[in-house]
Amino acid sequence: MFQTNAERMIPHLSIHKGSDKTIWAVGGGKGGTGKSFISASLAVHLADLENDVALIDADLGGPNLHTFLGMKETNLDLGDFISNKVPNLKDTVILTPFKGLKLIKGTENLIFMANLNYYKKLKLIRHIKTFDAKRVIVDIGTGASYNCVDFFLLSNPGILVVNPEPTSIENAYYFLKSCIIRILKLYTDFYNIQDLVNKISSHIKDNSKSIYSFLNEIISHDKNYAHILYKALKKFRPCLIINKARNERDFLLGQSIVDVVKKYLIVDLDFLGAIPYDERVHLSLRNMTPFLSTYPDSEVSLSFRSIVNKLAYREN
Amino acid sequence: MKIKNVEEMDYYELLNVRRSASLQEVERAYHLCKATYQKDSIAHYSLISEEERKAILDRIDEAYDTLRDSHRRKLYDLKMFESKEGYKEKAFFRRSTEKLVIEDTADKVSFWRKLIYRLLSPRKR
Repeated sequence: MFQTNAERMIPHLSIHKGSDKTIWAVGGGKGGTGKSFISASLAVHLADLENDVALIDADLGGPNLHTFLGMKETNLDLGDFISNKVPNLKDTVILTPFKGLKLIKGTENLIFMANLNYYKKLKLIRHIKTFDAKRVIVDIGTGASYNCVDFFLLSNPGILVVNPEPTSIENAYYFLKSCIIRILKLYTDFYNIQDLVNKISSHIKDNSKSIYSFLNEIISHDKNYAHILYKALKKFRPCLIINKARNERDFLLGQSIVDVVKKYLIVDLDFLGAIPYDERVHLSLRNMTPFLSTYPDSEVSLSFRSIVNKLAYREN
Repeated sequence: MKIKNVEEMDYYELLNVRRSASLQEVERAYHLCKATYQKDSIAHYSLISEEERKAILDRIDEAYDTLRDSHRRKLYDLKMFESKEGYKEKAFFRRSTEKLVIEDTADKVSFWRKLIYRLLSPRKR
C-alpha cells in the first residue's frame, strides 16, 4: 500500500503495513464506558477463532484487564519493560486461562506511568508493532492525552467506545478532536510548516467550524500542503461501538454520531454496532468470570460476534 | 481543491444518500438525519451550537422536500449538473454529430489507394 513520506517517517503513523498483523486499540476518552470489558471480550472471542491473540493493557491510569479475564496477580507487567527490567515486551507476556490468548498486564505504578516520556513511548510503540502475534488488542486508558491518542493512532482501526450519555459523547468528541490535532501536528512538524503548527491547536479547540476554516486557510496559502493534510485526515478512519444500549434510540445513536462526525469533523467513522445493556455483565465481573464464556448465547455475546465479523470484513 | 462545510453540501451529501437513491432510501435517510439533529438528541451534544443545529435542520427539510418530489428533483439535478465546472451546453450533441461526419467520410486507406491509383494509371488522351 502507498505510504507518504510522513507516514514512513512518523513512528505513530507508520503502521505495520505490508504485514498481516492487526492492531486494534480500544479507547474513547471517558472512564467507565466499558473499554476494558470490550477489549477483553473481543480478545476472548478472537482467541477462540484464531488462536494467536495478544492483549495489552495500556491503561496508564488504572489497569484492570487481568480482572476481566479472571486473573488476580502476576509477576511481570508493562512497567517492567518500560523501566528496562526486561529487555523485550514479549518477556512480560503471561498466559491466560484462554487458549491462544496472551496478556501483558498494565502496571499499577501510577506515578511511573504518568511520567511515561516520549522516548519510552516510542520504544513501547515499536515493540507493540513488532510483537509476535497475529492480532494485538490494546486497551487504552481514560483521557485524551498524547499518550492515549498516540496508541489510538498506532492502531488500524482504533475503536471508540461510547455510552448513550451526553458526558460520554462529549468526551468522545473531545478525544476525536485531540486525534485530529495530533495528526495535523505530526504532519506539519514533519513538513516543517512551523507557522501552521502553532495555529492548529487554537483553531481547532475553539469549535468545529474552525477545522474547515483552518484547512481552507492553508489551501489559500499552499494547495500542496493542504492536500497532504486533508488526505491525512481522510485516512484516519476509526470505528465506533455504542456500549450499554437500553432502547431503540440508543441503537440508532451510532449512525447519528457517524453523521455528525462526518459533517462537522471531516472524519469518517465506521459504526460497528451497539452492545445491549445487561445486568449480568456486572455479575460476571463480581464473580471474576469472563462474560462471553459464561453466557455464550446472550444478546451481548451475539453483538460481539457481529462486531468481530464487521472488523474482519473491514480488513478484507 | 475546496473543502465543503455543511452549508456548502448539496442535498445528497446532506442526507448522506447516493445520487441514484430511491424514494424509500431518501425517506429513511431523512428520518435518521431529522432524529440526529432534533433538540433532544444527544448525538450533536457539545459539538455544534444551537444556531448550527437549527440551520442544518432547515436544510435537511429543504433537501427532503426537493428530493421526494420527482419533478423538483429532476430540476435540481439539472441545475447541479449545469453549475458544474466545464459544463457546455449541447456539448454531447455536437460531439456525436462530429462523429457521424467522420464516419461518413472515406477512410484513410481508401483515400491513399485512390490517390496512388490515379497517379500511377496512364492518362487518357
